[in-house]
Amino acid sequence: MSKNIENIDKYLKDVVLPEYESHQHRQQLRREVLGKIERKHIMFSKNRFWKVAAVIAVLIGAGAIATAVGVRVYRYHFEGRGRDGEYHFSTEPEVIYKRTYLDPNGAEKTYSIMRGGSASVGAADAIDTEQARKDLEEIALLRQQDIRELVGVIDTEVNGHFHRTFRFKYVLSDGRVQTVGEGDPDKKETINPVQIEKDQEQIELLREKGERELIRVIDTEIESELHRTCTYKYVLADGREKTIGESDPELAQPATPLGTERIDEIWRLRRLNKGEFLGYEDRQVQGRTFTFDTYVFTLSDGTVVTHGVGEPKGLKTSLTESDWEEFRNLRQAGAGEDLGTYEQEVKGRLFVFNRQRFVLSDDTEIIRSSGTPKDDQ
Amino acid sequence: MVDNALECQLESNSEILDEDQILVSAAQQDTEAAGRLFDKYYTEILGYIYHCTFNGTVAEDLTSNVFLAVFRHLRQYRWRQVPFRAWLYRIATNEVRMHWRRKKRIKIIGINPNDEEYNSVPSVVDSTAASEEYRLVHKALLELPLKYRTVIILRYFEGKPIADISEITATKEGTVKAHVHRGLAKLQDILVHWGVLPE
Repeated sequence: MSKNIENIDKYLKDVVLPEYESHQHRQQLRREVLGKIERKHIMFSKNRFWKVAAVIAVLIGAGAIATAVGVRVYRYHFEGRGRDGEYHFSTEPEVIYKRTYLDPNGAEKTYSIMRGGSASVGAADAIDTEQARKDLEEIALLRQQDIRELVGVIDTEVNGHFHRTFRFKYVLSDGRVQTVGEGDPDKKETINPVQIEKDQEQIELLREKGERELIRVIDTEIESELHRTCTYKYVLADGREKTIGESDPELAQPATPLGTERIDEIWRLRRLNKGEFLGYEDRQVQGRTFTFDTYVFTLSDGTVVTHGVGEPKGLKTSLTESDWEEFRNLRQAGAGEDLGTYEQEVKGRLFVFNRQRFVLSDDTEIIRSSGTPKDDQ
Repeated sequence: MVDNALECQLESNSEILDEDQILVSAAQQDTEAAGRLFDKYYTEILGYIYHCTFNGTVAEDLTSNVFLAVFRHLRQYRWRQVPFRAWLYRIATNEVRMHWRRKKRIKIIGINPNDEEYNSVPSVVDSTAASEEYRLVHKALLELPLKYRTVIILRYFEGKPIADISEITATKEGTVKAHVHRGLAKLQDILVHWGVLPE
């Protein structure tokens, strides 16, 4: 070493370095980076979907199961305000599985599994929709990593049929807290192509044997053609339930398919209450009576559509949009009959449930049990 | 001095290369592996950029740019050209270089004449004695041309061997040694002039 720089060499080697850490930045950047890379993977995967399916099939054949869990970025956009003033947001639906097949009527049908999200934000006053949109995107990232706290459970029994929703608390990066109602986090749609194919094989066998239940019928009349979608519930061997929309075997197939864009637009108009309500009507479908609530919508291209959703007549097992509206009004008016309280452990946390009974105008009975954590009381 | 410096703090990279090679390959297909790759290098890169800029906020911003760029171009990365760690440091070094260029432009325009390069925003760690000492060194480093500053930080504060610095800066080892030597000589002059080092 040159003698003239010995001092600086020794001095620099002895310098105690400062350290800098930022847990918040680390977490934020990690989420951002992984979100981007996951989105990129999905885009890439679309182009080589069948190759991937084949590779996975080989792996399964060899007794190895590979699963990949990642963080996905959802881009929400603001749709508009709904019938009771809530703000609706949704993501672009993404096709994660698509297969074309001939249905029992010989019509070419596409079975697809879509992934996407929609959300409604209730607010008495006007909200900053851009901020709400960003919040929803951040919540979607937190949800996928399960960075949240279960703070509520709501059980709804409609004529004895049980539905459960959860309320999760999310702490956003700027410290704000959002509480969001959601479905069961343990109930996830399978996206493994091989599993989907296996489920499809089972469903086809069940269809051939007629072992399915018609639970909903959707009639869409457009340009003098009726498009009927029958939603069937199939129960697989392992107990999982699959609901699939299919054509009605008793009807002739329309010449022109509706198309995804039109279907999406119709449901969006329905969510936003942008149609004219024509009333309720009973129709016979495959030997059963269904009660349809029918609306008329005008699509963006000027096409007029009549759209009816039919539920089995008689005791309802789930609530329609107008039922939910009536139910909300009853709750706000405090019209529920108090049925007492009980305790129950849900996902490792003890909740105290307040139980109330409501009756809608069509005699639908709803028992609502709202659970809050006991350790919060 | 330079030859001796080559002997100190050298580390065997074979194990790291193998592990990185597997991790990078997996990260090109799998988000979970990408997460592990991020976790492995985040602190190291943030630390390096912090030593270069001595400003927590700037270090966070530049680190974000580095990782977003790295993962955006991960599929284009080719192992044979340069090891992943060196590639990562190369991107980080470029980010720091761009940062100083931007700072320079701002000074010329004169938007904020008080914004001296070494007048960093105080961060959490600035109050410690270590930071006070480093602040002085950093201030002196800012007097050096960027090419000298970079190799000195990599050599002394990040513990990189000359061979690694050569890969990071994409210059020949001989050139790196020369830059280290000239940079140290200049730095010593500055610190002597300031009375920090004896003549």
